[in-house]
Amino acid sequence: MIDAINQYRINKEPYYRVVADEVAIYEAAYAERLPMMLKGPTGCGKTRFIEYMAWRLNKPLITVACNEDMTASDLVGRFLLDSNGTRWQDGPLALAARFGSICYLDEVVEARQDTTVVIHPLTDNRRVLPLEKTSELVQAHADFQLVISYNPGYQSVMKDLKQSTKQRFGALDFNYPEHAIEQEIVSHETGVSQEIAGQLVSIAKMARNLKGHGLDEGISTRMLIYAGNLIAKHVAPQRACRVALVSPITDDPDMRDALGAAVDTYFA
Amino acid sequence: MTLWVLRWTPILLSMMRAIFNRLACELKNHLNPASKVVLNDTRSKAEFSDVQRRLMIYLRALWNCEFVVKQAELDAAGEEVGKPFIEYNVINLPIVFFDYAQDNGTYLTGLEIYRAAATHAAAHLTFKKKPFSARSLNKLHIAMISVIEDARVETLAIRTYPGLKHLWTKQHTATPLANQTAGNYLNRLARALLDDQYQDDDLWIAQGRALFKSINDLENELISRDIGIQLADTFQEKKIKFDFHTDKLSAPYRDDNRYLWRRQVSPLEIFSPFFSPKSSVGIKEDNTLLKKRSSSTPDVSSNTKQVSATYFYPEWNYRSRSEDQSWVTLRESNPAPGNLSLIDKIITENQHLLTRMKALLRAIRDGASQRVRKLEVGDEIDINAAIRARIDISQGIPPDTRIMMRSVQKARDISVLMLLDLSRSMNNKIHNQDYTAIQLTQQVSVLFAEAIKTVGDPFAIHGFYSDSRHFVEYLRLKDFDQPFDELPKARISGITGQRGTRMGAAIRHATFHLNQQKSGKKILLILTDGEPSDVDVPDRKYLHDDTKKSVEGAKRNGIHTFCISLDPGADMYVSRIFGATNYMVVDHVKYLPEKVLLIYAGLTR
Repeated sequence: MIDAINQYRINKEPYYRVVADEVAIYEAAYAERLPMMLKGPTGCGKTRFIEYMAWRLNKPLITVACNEDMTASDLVGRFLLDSNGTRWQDGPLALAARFGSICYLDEVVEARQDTTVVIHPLTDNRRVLPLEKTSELVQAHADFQLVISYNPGYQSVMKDLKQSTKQRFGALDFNYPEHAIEQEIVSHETGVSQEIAGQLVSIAKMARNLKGHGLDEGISTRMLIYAGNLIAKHVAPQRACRVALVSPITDDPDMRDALGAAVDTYFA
Repeated sequence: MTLWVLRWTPILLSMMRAIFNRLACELKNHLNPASKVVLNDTRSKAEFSDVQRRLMIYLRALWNCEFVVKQAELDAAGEEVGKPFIEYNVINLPIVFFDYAQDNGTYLTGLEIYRAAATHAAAHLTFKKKPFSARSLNKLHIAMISVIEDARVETLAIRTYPGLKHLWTKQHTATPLANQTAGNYLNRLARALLDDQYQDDDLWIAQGRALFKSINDLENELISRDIGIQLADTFQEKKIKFDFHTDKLSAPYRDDNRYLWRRQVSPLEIFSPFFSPKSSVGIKEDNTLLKKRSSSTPDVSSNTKQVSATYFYPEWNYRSRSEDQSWVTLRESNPAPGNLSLIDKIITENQHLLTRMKALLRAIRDGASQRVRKLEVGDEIDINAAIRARIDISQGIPPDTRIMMRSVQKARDISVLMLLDLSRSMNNKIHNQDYTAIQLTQQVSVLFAEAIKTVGDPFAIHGFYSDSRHFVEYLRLKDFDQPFDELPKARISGITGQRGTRMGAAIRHATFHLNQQKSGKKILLILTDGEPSDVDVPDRKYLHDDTKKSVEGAKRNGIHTFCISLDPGADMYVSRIFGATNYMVVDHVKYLPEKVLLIYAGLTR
């Protein structure tokens, strides 16, 4: 089983540009095994940050992408049928708690509320995971830590975490980095020149002006990196921006047209 | 002689072609006789109504400001206005721009002209805050200063958005061949200042270029004036007469620069130029609309049932800890209708908010399907439950037999009553804003009613004010079964603020109306700017407690009460009366969509 957990180790340093004191705060939180919540818009670097921290702390990282059809047994584990009858299979949360890894529940707000409550006993001083089906009480490994990500966008009005869940976590706020830093990230990740990266960041800033005015979410750093990747493969910048930035973000024809025209204003 | 003719004919021909093209373009874009004729023209074109939203999004993306872009009204002679202009900080654009090929062969689309015009005007609004003084200047000075100022704001905009240069230069077609009139020179100068590639050996143009290049601080709003005056003085050496009426800039996107010279707004408004519609906007427009509408203003008394009944309600006395029965007299009455055009204006100006509200409400409506699991009899097998049961059987444990599930569409069954506080304090301006609480109330209720039409929930708008316990006036502006058409709109536009706020009685009466509705969920939304108060009650706590009691009474009747407070400082008493999670502060209509969503999502969850 140790092999099973070792496959979750991150061997190569992921690129992460430190923006403020988030690394120090996270290290302190990990030292206390404090459950953490990473808040911020999509594509701003939450997942990359946790990968980087797992590498830095040399701990395995189990990531679960949450969705609304996920049940508690998808997290905890279930009996499976096999030729010899039934066999218990640990879910990702049980695996992480048993063998000591960081368990990262991505977009946890997507999961149903009855599913999220299974993390409660793991996130207070008990640090246990009761497995009802096997009547087992898993004591969390000393290295175990739970981290969730959460995008407080407009969907949070429709779906929100219960207060009893929210109040079990410390929270790190993420946002799109400042111009110069975001430019550096885009340039590093894609290999395009600083100048082009700067133009891409300016375009993103412009689209972020439209958040709440027809766009649900601004252009993320991840999208900029996709655009940069296309430009690095010799796609003309304007075309790359249309493909990677404008078209994916909206289906509203007026918005696409206006954004497209706004993109053009950046390229002489 | 023959040689001379051969040499000059092509040049003359090209000049004549240029003049004809220009005339044709002018005819198309400047001298459009009437909008109907223009809009029926089958040539390819861009119409303002089709591009307005795009332009507003475009400007917002570039400048992160709320610019107001509207269609230019007819001019004094009843003609279409062919040239963009800025008035009261509102960008006015012509009703249509035709696509056409310019003299130099480049093809220009109507949408490109609109975009160029909108960005040019936005550059004026962004980089020029105070008008020039025209004192001691002649017409030529004014024209020259305007050309330099155009170039200044464009250069500043191009620094951030280099692509705008291409959009603008494309529309300048002046060449050194045009040297007859002062207008020719103005256009050549305008082109020379914008377009580095443009070749022009004229000494005066070169001087203009050199002076403009020598500016160190382009942000200095007065620099254009100095350079314009210098250039106007040297231009007089050319001995070309300047005619203010004909010597104009020809690039179709350029506005008429009235913005640069006229003081149009009070100093207070200059600092918040971008958010729209002050009451001063388009006074002429209002009057014309008023004239058009006057015949269609509905006659309230003729087409509605007369509502004028009297009701008696108890009131809670916190000192005696009991209710005084039949203490308050409430009278329902007919509200006076106002000017319909006001409501249409609200709807037109907030179209983008409305679209968003409608989309959000639709999303909530359509997203309300739910999977009901753990059913013995259902529409489909819940495969996870079935496997669990099979495993239990294998392990010898009694299985859970509820292995079916069903998808159900949550029935929308909500009635909403919006209760407007119409007390005197609503005439005051909202803290830090330049509109009154009544104006905001009108905007909120109209947008809400328009948006709710999409989901079709029963919706009513009532209002109240009071003058002692003997006189609480309750106005039914729109009833549940009434369509949101001209009559309720006219009534909303006619609301005014007067007298006191005896909220308890009004809430009890609203509860009475909501109780007549058969919906499973009932919402009472109260829009107010202040705490309850009335002339005959010096003790504020008395009315606070009574209002709190009335809210509790509504709750017992299954009504969720929400307070939309227009007063950002209202937190204390509002949360006491309505409960910490049942109120929200809306001090600008732009926050409305999200708030509406909050209310609705909270109730449909």
